[in-house]
Amino acid sequence: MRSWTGVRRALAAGIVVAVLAGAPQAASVVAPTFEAMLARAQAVFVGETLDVRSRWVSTSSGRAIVTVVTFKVLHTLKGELGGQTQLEFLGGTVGEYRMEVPGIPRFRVGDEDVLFVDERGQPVSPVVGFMHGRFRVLEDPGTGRRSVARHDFEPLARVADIGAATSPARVSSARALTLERFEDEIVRAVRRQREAR
Amino acid sequence: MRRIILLSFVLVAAAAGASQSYWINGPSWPSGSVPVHIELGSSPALIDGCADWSCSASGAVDRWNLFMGRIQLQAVQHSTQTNGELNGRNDMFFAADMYGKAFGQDTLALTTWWFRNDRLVEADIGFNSSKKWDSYRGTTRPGAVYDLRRVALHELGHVLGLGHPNDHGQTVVAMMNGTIGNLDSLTVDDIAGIQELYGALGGDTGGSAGGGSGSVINFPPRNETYEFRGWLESTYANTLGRPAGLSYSDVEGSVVWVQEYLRYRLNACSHEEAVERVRIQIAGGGVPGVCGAAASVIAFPPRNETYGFRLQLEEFYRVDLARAAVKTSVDAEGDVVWIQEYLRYRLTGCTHAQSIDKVRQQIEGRGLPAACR
Repeated sequence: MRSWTGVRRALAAGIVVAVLAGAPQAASVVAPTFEAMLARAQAVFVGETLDVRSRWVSTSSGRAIVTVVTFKVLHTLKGELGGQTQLEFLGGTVGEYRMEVPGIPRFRVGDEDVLFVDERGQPVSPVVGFMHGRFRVLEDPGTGRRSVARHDFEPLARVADIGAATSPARVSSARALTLERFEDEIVRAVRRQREAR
Repeated sequence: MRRIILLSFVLVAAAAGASQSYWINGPSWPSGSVPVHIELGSSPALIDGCADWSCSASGAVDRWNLFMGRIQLQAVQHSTQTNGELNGRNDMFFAADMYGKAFGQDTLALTTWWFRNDRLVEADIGFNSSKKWDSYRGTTRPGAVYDLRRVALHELGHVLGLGHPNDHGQTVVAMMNGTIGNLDSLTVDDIAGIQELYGALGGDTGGSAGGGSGSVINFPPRNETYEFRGWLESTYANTLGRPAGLSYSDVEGSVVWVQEYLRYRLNACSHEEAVERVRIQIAGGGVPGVCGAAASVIAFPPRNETYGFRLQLEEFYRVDLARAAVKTSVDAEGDVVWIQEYLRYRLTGCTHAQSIDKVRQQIEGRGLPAACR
């Protein structure tokens, strides 16, 4: 079998094709649509990370580590927020201990994001859809154009692509939604949902 | 304000795309056995025939174990331990929250890793008890009932040290991606990732017994089976006038892997064991040994099982390997029925030419020729 190189070569080629053309799919989190994400969010804002701090907490089943992230609120698109807000995530590092939750959003001071937030029930991740409600703000160093990408840095072309059943075609960041356009889409959708109630 | 600069990201993404796509989180487990306490409680009978959650979850444990060399997960079934953070035990449980924190509406399950001085010391898996669960294969049923086994497969991948490839700007078909889909088994990428961490399960060089001490059934050289398959293609197209259809598994693939599947079946492997062993081979994980000594009388598996394997192979080529469809006049059923018949004659004393002739008689409706011994 090992010497059957024809099949091996074909499989290797297939793997390359899969890497290039395959769509992410597997388990654990259901990706919400844009409308569902917005409906569920208590607040949506554009924020800059100012501070990231971890600490021990006591829980009913033992000790755990949480990380509190402080944001400067640049624009509020839904809900009511002051000039700063804090969000608490499960996991972090304190001394010699590190607790991690795979997939949970991690923030660094200076990050700029659009965040859909739901803190009801003190969730593991207050970002709606665990990580899906985090959109990164990217800036083209040449043109200064500011565009939006998903949590995984995949450029976002349309809000309809969020939570779509089939993976949308990949686009370059030059064709991604601008931050201004994304904010506008959110504000209009918030108004639409409010009027529908 | 530090904004993320696009250019550097594009370069990183391009570099990552050129390599493997799996994502290794960091420290892995030391060599040996890694116990996982399955504390999922009782359940009604499950769709896939499992009697309870423990069976479904340990099925996921078994799948990972097939591909790892340096460590093995040890499923502690029906454990009555109480889960807790930093208790030194790897717990798997249902809960309404994860250590005081709500799962959130979109989260089915979570894993938590604990490291001390950068050494992995504990990993716990919590399943969201507010969701409806069962255990089944095939298309997932979001909004209705979720398949515990595939979610356990994903979370166990985390326990072993794998992260989400798609969280790191990579696009690949993998159980370890972070969003639910229709995959219900490990892919080439998942297996490559786990084998980078722990090596491959030790295998022999193929064709010899790995699990038994008795006699082993040896198959004809693959080039002869391949030649038979070429003859079959010609017969279907020219003699029977069958139009060309589409298949994702090419001729080489179906000959090699159907023959391998049958080799395992005739050497004491169950259907599932044979499918997994072929999958390991396709993923480049070596050639696992057979399951034991062959029976004294050669008994091929029921055709529906070989056909079932062939359909899985088709899906594997289509989804995992993203292969383009190729034209063939032999449909998947004809493929397995006649390859199996050819091999049956070969293993019962017929030469290559005699075997083709006996299959020809069957295809022409001239009865069922006897074996050669």
